[in-house]
Amino acid sequence: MTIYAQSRSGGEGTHLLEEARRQLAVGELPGAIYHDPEIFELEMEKIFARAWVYLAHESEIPNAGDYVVRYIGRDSFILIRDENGNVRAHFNMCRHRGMQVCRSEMGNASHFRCPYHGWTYRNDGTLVGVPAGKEAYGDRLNKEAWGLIPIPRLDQYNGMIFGSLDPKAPSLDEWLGDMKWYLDLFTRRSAAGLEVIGAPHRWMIDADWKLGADNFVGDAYHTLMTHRSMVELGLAPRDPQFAMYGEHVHIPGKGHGLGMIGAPPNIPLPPFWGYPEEIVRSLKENYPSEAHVRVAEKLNFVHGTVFPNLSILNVMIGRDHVHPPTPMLTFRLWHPIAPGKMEVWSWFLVEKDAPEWFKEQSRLTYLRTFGTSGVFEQDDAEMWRGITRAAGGEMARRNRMNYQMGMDHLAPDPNWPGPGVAYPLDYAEANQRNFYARWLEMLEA
Amino acid sequence: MKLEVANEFTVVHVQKVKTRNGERLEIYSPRLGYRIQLDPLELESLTWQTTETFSRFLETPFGPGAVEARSLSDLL
Amino acid sequence: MSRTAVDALEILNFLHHEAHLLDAGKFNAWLELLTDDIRYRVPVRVTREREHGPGIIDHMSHYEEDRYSLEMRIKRLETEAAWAEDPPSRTRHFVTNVRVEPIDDRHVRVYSNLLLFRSRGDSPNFDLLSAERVDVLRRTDGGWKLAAREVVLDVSTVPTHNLAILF
Ligand code: FES
Ligand SMILES: [Fe+2]
Repeated sequence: MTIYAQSRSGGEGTHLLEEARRQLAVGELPGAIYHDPEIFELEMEKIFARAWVYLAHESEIPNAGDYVVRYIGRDSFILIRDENGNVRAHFNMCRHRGMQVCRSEMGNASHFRCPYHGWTYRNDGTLVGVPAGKEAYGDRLNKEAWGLIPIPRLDQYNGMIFGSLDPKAPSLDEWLGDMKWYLDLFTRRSAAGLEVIGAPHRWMIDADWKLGADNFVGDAYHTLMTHRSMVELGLAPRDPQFAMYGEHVHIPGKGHGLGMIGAPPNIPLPPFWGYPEEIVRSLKENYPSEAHVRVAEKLNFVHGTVFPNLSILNVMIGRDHVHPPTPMLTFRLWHPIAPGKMEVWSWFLVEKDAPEWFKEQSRLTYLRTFGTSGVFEQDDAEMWRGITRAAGGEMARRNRMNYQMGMDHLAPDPNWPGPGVAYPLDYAEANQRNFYARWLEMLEA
Repeated sequence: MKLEVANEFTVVHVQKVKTRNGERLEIYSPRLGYRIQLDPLELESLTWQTTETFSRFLETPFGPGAVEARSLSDLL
Repeated sequence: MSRTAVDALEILNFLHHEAHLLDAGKFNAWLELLTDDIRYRVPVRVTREREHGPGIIDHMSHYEEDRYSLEMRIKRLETEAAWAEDPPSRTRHFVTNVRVEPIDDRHVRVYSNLLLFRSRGDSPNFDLLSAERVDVLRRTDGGWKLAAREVVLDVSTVPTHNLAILF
């Protein structure tokens, strides 16, 4: 598949990439990038085999032996806390004949016994047992050399566990860069940290993974049209200007970005997303800087994407048309499956030490708005499917998508206290342009 | 359900404990303060052990580590 | 006919009528078949080994609804901007294997199998969702009403792009 990237006279993928490079310079992109088999293969090889990809939150595997099965690209990993408390990720393929060692989505095990011939691995990956070992292999089998293959890179930031297939990937710290400042806003409200409740929602969409990432990285603009039904029911802000009272922030060179939106001047919305006083008190103690507290005080709606495919949403929203808005936090992964097809993984998280009544309200708010049946989520999926379908044909190669919002008339906000480049309103597409610049850079590398 | 298993030499408490994603059997020694949580595969492997295995375990009858020896004068 | 035979017939009619209302897009009429204290839940399932049972996750669901939230979902469909279901999916609820179990004077538990067909747009592709439903029906002056529904999906990863449809 490397041919496209290397040869000038290569397949359609190269052509599309060159076209994308030319167009992005003027804030445009060819529509076909959302549904092209060669681009997809290139993304697998150049992005998903090299990036740091989100796997799980540490609270999903709190006890020795707790594991969950997670994916990067087409590879399956057993993410487990071993008996010494270390988090490990083993490639889920037996070293003998390649059977999936683990077929449950989650569980607890001190050892894994392969169902094919019974090779048995300790949960730190070491091969400890081979049936009829002496008789079958004599002294030939050096068990130490035949443990489960560890993921090439594994690291965490504030409990968010990421992995990379590239042994030479930069550190996670470097990969996240200034995005860490913003991740602190969601992950450091309490000393106890976040916890995932239950298991993730998982569902399939006939849509390209980039559309989810693109939407969350910077698209406040779609809210009033896509989510108009929710605006009408009063679950989303009625003010057509609502994203005017926000910041549009991206981390140059990294692809990450967020939109951070507060209350319009004459609409009273509670400070700190409307979190209960216990959490507000705790965030004041736990945030790493005074600037975090000052920013959080003004926040009501935050959306963001960590390149390539992890998005975060932290918003106050109604769980129906009767009850007042409740803040909730979700992490979601746009997991690429095939050209024009993704699987969504969506987690609900809440501060471990939040009051029980709040955890419950926040959970219900999440599952009714952004879970599988979420009344916001539903309409997004409809859009992304439609785009992907339209992008699959010949004409989409010629259809230049407009990514020019805020391109010439917006200047960075000199007063923004956080890192990255901030524009003083969230009706802009600088974050998207930054996302695709990183995407192109990786595909062309 | 907590089980107590005792004889004239010692007593242990045995119970099934839930982890977030599964379950284990916990064995607790109230006298020595040691605790272990075994999963089904580990427990199964106990079923084909012989007394010799456990005799070996009991080479240090009060748990691992050196037993502290102090003279009486030291305590005075 | 005996009382139980009459009940069974009424209950079967209730399930078929309800399925018709959902497939015909008569959602407000469907709402009227629910009690005010309705509990409607579709739990998340994960793949677990047989010893750990059906893999139902207690604390996370695809749906976990009360009267307000079901009303909200249906009010939303009545707006002119519920894009996920406008144009509407063509759905068909196939209800089979109905078993009725008495609970008390006013309540019965009803088990049924559901095959839900969904097609959208002009694509010939469609989605199928298979599930077991466990309902509690209450006898009221206005006839039988649905007081509780738990839908146990036969999938872990949901194969359709959203659950903008009801079970
Ligand atoms: S494939 Fe795993 S033991 Fe043979
Ligand atoms: Fe949206």
